[in-house]
Amino acid sequence: MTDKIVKIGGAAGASIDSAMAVPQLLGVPGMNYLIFDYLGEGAMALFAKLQQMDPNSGYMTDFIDVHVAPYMRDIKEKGVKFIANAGALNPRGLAKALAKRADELGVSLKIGIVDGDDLRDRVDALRAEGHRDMFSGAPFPETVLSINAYLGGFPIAAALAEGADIVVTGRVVDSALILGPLIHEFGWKPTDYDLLAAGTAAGHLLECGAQSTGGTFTDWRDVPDWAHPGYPVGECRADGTFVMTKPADSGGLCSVGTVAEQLLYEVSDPQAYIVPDVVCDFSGVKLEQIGPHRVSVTNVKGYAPTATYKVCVTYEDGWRATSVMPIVGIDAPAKAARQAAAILERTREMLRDRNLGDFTMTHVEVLDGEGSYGDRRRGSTAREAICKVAIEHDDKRAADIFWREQFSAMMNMSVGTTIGSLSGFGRAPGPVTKMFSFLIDKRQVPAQVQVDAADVPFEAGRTAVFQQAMLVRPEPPAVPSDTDPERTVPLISLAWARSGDKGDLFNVGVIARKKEYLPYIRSALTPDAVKAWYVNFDAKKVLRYDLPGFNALNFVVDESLAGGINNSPRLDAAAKGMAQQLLEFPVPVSEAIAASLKNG
Amino acid sequence: MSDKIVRIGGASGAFVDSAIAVPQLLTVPGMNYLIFDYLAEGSMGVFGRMQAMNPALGFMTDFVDVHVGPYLQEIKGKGIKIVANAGGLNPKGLAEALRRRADEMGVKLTIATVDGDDLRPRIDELRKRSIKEMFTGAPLPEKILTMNAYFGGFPIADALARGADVVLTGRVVDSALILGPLIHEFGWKPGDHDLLSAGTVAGHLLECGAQVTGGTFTDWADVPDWAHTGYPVGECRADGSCVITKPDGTGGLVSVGTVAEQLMYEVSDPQAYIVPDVVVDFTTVKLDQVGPNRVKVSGATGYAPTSTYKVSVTYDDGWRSTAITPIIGVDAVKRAERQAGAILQRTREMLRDRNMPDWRLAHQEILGTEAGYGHRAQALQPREVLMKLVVEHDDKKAADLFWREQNSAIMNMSVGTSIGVGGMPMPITQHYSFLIDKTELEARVTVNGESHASKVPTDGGYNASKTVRPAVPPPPAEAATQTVPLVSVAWARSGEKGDLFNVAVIARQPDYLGYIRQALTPKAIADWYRHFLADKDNWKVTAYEVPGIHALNFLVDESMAGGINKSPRLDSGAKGMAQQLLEFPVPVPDAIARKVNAARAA
Repeated sequence: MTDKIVKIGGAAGASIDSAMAVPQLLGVPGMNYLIFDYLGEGAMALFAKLQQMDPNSGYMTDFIDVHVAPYMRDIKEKGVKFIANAGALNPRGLAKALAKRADELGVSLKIGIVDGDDLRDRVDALRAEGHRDMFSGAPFPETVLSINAYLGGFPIAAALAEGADIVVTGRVVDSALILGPLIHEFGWKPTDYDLLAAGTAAGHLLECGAQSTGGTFTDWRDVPDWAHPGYPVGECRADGTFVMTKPADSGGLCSVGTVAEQLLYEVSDPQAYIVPDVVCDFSGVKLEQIGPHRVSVTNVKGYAPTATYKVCVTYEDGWRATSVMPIVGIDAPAKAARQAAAILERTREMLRDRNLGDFTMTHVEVLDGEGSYGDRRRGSTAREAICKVAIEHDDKRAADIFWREQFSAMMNMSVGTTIGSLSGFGRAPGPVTKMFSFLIDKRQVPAQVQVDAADVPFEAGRTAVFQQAMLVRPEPPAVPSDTDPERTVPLISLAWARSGDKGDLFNVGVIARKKEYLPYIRSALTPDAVKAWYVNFDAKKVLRYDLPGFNALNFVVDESLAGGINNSPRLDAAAKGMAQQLLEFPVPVSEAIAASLKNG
Repeated sequence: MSDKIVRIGGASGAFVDSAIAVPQLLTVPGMNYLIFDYLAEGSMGVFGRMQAMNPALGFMTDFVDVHVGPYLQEIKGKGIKIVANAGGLNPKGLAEALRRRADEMGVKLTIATVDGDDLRPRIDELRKRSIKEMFTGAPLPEKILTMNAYFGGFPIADALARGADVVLTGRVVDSALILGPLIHEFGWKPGDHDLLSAGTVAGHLLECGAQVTGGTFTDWADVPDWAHTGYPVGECRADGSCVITKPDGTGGLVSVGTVAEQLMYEVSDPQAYIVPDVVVDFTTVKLDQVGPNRVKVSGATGYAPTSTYKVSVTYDDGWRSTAITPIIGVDAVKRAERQAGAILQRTREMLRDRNMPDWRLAHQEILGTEAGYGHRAQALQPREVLMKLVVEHDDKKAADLFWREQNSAIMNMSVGTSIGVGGMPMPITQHYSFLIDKTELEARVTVNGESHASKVPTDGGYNASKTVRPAVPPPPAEAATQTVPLVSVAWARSGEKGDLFNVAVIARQPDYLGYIRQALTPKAIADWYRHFLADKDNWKVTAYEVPGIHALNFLVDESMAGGINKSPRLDSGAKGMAQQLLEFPVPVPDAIARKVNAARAA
């Protein structure tokens, strides 16, 4: 029993992920589960709009057409089970469509579903309860596109226990797609907090496609063969330890660096990573390279879960249009800046003339090669620039006015303004989808489980309740005494870094390449220094967390993303470039380290 | 009679043009006509796709909703007439919509339509003939969306003569929107070639919105107040002369430079600018600044027209998918190049695995690196680029496959890759042109429900060999001793014409032209733009003299990757080509160098 290994392949990490993952992972000997995460935070809004047009839609058709149907026979013959949050707003509809396709192919599959997360029929009652946004304190939105609680891994385990070959869910936390099978396979209980946390860490590493196997890794040159990156495989054991690896003969890289970066991806407090089943503490995690493309992950700690589920509401709020105009020639950045100002001046006057209020948001970016670098931008002499102007307004007419006038700029304004084949970059007026989050008592949201359309009884387990006081913050390393302020090296010489968005904030995980670098990094990257580095993103507050287990720091930069990935008008709405920016930070080091880096 | 001035305002120059034009032009005392051009070469394809969904559509609703509707009372009150090609594929449908709007507002309007240009009902019949594309010789395409002949100004004049307050057309040449009223007002006849040419020149200048009044002008810093750009007004006389100006109190600029640039915009052979009514010679045109923001245009000459109409066909031709992916950080360019290579490699293998042919087009640009500057790009090291990758395929499944894989790159490939900003796979609309004998078509004019075939001359008579090319003056006597960038001695404007582009270079002073001509040989031009040429060894650059405005017009063939509707390039409109040429080093004598350097410093 203790030698049992459960192999789980991460086959999709986004609503549109590569078609190469499934065949590659099915080639791994002894594969047990493939999991598919499709749902970004704002994804449900899209499904809601689809369902408004056709109530039978509302799920990921790709799951059937691209990822599963071509391989249904393998599933049956190899006994590999598939778990996917492809059900989105209509898991039962997806299950029906899957069953139909399986019939057509003559494959007999037991199909399980998990739902109960969809609270659309309770919107009025929930609004009446007076919930406020858990981050901003904003009131409950007036209209709702979608409203879903994030469920955990136990209902998935229940469907598997009933013999399901495929489990499709509505909204669950991404890592539950992995934790569910591990609960099922190893018989983990609701109070096995360390084990549940370990399974959640495995889930966190496996649910984002090739991001843990070399995708978006700092040392990009060291990652071979981007055309064929290996998708991640977790070899998981009953004690909660697991090995991250990837299929033989695939590209990509699985190293302490790639795994460490992903472990901190989109993490806020790394000692309180909250999922429905447990609160995870990543601060003591040990990562060890135990073979080529094999990294062992151990020592994940867990605390009792909270008593609540997070609920994510999507709603439409006003209109946005985004103008994107290429400008060619000398002084292109100056021309672009003047053009953006003239368009805003003209359209604002038109709004006044028509008694429409001012834009609720305006955003100008001159994309000249350094657009996001703010104060640290180098003066650009680029003779090609893109003038990007985004606006928002409550009234569609205002967005339409903007759209018309920005177009006329091509004839009205700067020389060298052209028609770019920038298909889709500029966006005609469309509704803005926003998000609202609140917490709900778990008892109010019972998960529903079915296998082959028959109800499976499911009851949530009893646990203790997480208290913030349970957290023990680690001792920071001693401040080094031999720092030479004259000898600075860019952070990238000392560390890997990964950034990601978390709503209206972003995080940057910084992992020392060697344990002895960490004290210097920590001394240089004070919260104030990091805040100053990101001054052009209106950083309001920076929190720093220590993760001594793998020589890392995690920075959480607050109120900085202009509304987050679904809302930010910035080029880098997803904050993927924030780590890249920080990696140029000059870090004072000791003479010895400076010398070793010079020679190394 | 000879003192009569007809004032025409150019109120729209493109599919989506500003709402500031009409109210501004309505303030001009004595305004007679407002004209609206909406249709570019590929526009009919858009209407064709709309009509495929709903046959009642196919015209510019903006014309009613934004441009004219709100001002109908004022327009009628001032006796201003309207001419617009807003009819698109359905002029009668638009007339209906406008009628309803006018009725709602209690405005009584005589609305006329001009149609007969739409040849969709004759596609099967035309297919039986061996029609050839007028440039490439290709046969008629399979999946035709639209097919329209370009009519001239006489049917519009006819409609006006029958009392129309508003004339709504389908496809007419853009300049006919202005020539029509002038024919009507001044009684010009089909044989008045010089006058018809002059009216076409006025039309050419007035039909492109604010491009003649300071928009896209080389000396952009000299153009005041882009926010309130003045739209153009032509004050036209019976002798064909015309003063280009703009409303008082507006921004923008009307100067010899702004007018000269627009005169040569998208012009190929300046002595053979062919429209249905005449063949225009621009080389005799003179421009004089006769007041602040007032430029007199005179001297246009013309030849008899051809006996054919140009027919423009749009058709469906496969699928395009465009990845536009921000990549941020040190070495962003190298990473973007690697990412583009990896996406192409992966998707090509997938196509092979699925027994699908390779991409018929794959185009890569790293934006942020002066992608369009080729060998003259600076060694910039931008830390933020857009990786742009365009593929085309006959099969939508291939375009979808590409879309999926390029999206996965955000997790699979380069660090610092942010969310892609490209668009979903889209059908490609292509463009095809042929000539048809004028006798085969009937321009139909309908006024108040009464329809008749308009009398349009069809006999042609154009003979290209009779064109007299202006003599090229001898090289300047004084030796050139140092170089200045072309922008110091010239204005320049570029535009696309299908698979070729033109760049007009206008000397700021007549005595600069000799040195400009000496420097800008066709070979030098070909070399400057060699990164755009389909065949770097067998290039074709044609230089035309335009002595009346001290200009040269260059045509660069096979350089546009198929032109505006087809090119995957950032600058598919060729608007940046003049910008590139304006950096060309021109050898000049010391005296000129001193003068222009002093002017630049000031």
